Amino acid sequence: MNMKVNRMKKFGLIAVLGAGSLTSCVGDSNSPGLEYMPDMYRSSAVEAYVDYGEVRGKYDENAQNLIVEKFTFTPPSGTIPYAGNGNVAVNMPYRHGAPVGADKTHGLYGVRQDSAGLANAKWDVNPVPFSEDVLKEGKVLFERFCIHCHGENGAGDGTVPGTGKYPPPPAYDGPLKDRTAGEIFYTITYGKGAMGSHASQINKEERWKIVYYVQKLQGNDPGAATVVVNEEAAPEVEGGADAHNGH
Amino acid sequence: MKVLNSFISQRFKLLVVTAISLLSFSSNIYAEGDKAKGEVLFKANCGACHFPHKDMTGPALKGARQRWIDNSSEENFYKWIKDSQKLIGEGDSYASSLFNEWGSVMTPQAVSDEQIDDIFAYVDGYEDVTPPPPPTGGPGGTDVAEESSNAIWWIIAVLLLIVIGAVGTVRGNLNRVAKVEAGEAVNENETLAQGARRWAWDNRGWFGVTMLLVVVALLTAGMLDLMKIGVFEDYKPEQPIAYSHKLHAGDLAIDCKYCHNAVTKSKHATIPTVNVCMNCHKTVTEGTTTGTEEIAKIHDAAGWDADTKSFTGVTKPIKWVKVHNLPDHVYFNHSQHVEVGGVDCAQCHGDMKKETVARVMTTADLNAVEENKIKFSRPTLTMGWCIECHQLSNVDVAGSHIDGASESEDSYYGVIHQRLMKDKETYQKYLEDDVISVAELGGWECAKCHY
Repeated sequence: MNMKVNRMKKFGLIAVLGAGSLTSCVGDSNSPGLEYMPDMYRSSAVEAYVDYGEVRGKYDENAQNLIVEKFTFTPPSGTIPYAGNGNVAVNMPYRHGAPVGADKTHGLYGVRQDSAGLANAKWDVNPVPFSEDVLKEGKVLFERFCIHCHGENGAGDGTVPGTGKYPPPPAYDGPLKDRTAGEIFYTITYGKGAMGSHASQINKEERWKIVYYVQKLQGNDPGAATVVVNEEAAPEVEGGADAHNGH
Repeated sequence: MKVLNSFISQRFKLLVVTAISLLSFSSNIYAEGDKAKGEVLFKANCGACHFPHKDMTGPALKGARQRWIDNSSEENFYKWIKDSQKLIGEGDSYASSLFNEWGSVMTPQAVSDEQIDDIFAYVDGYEDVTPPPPPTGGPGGTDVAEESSNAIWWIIAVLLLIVIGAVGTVRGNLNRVAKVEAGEAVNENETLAQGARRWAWDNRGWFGVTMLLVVVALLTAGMLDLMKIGVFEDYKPEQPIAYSHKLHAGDLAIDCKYCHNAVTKSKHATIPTVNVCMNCHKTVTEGTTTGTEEIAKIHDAAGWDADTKSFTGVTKPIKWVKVHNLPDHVYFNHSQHVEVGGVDCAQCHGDMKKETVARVMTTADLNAVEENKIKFSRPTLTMGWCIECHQLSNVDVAGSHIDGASESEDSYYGVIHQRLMKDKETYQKYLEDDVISVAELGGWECAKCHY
């Protein structure tokens, strides 16, 4: 009798252990799974998108701080990006400040504000020489960064305002027909109304290329250079919108 | 009679006219604008900064005329729309208070008084028809149901095991009783282990074969499990914000590269900074499935105060969980593949337009995308996977050579192509299969990715 109880107990134990080990096989979706030599997945040289605070499942604040304090800096304001034989004139610091209150309305923290910014930008000349290829590049960029709101023909009928949750922007060939190249560039750089600043996503050369394509959608001749240059109303600036590094 | 008739019809006409004018007066006590024209004008000129029914960059326009009449005058209402700065200059106190409250200059509108009437006929008659978001937890419901059905299966499995155990014990006891009745010797002190050994020896023929099969099966399973080390297929960790690629890239058709914009210039595709989210979410504060909860997290990170509609300057990082991991000893560059190679995102990341947060797609997911030229057989993000694609993908080198250019001026692939043309033997070998693959251009060199 005693033995029988013993057997039952042992059997029960085995059953419980078996069931336990089976359930433990069900994976945790938050775990990437087993790594071969785990330290190889965290570079010892500083790289982007590596959480240096996390060392083998534990969080080390000192490791994180070391990286933040020693290795992650934004470039000094006014830094001109060097890109091989790129167009230097394009990459010079942007002269015009953001609209007054842009830190509150568009989150452009620390960006110089200038109440005459837009007015001064009006007569800026596109520094990227016009060609059909540039216009094509502008179209590709437009379709990547603008089309979902402004629509294929710039009529303000993109897919995002199409939901009714987002306001439709005015049509390029309607109320915005008379916007000059400089004003278009200024708006892409600092945003306007509901539109945010796109300076962190599109670099200056790309913005000027988009300007050409927008001018085409306005129904204007993108190749015709703006002739009037308002030099006296263009003060030198230390650091433009690109000194601002997102947040 | 005729006089009476005409008298009645005169009175009737008067009545109708009065009634109509009264009715129209009560529905719009100001000027009679044309709603249809107004809607077109509103969308073209005002819609970028104003909603009719709620505040955005500028205040809600519904009732704006009445607010002006109450605080200033109707005449100034028209002036404000045409040139707000001029009106502030004239010293109107309501104009100044509006400017101070909203903090941005309203763009002067080139519209006539009649057009303003049209616009406000539309605005004041506007009814918000946005459907309320469905209650949260809707999509989570299926998971709960699945979990509970899983639990039921486990309970059934345990019950079955108990039944099997009970039947086995009863059978053993019956056997023993049978043996005792037949007068055979029964070792009452035999332990479970001794019993098992005796039983295995008694049935050694098929027991041996079964054990051999079990050992082989276990080794195979173990080997297959070892092969999974370092394979992260289907990895989809929970993210700090329940973002949906399906909504943004699918339904709203926003280009992948709008948010992952460094993919054409950098090694990384980059997670967008919060300011990119805020390009839309300054205005869109309520999601279709998650309500305000998830979007409030973006606002918190960006330092956006939804009540005052302004940025506070207090920002916080969002700690996204990295999904696609490569070991430190592998170099991978997005721009090389996307910009130079012209590889579509879906070739390696599958159809993200059907996904919520990021997931490492399985080989099956990638092969399911019809447009993908390369069909894989190796697990995603393994070396075999890279190598396979480098072997199968065709590089269009012919078009890359700049006509008449010397080696130092030619394009990257142009140089390689020109060198290849000089070595007829290798050239023929490469062209045998009509494909100039990445591997043939050095994509299989160890040092391309490991250095």
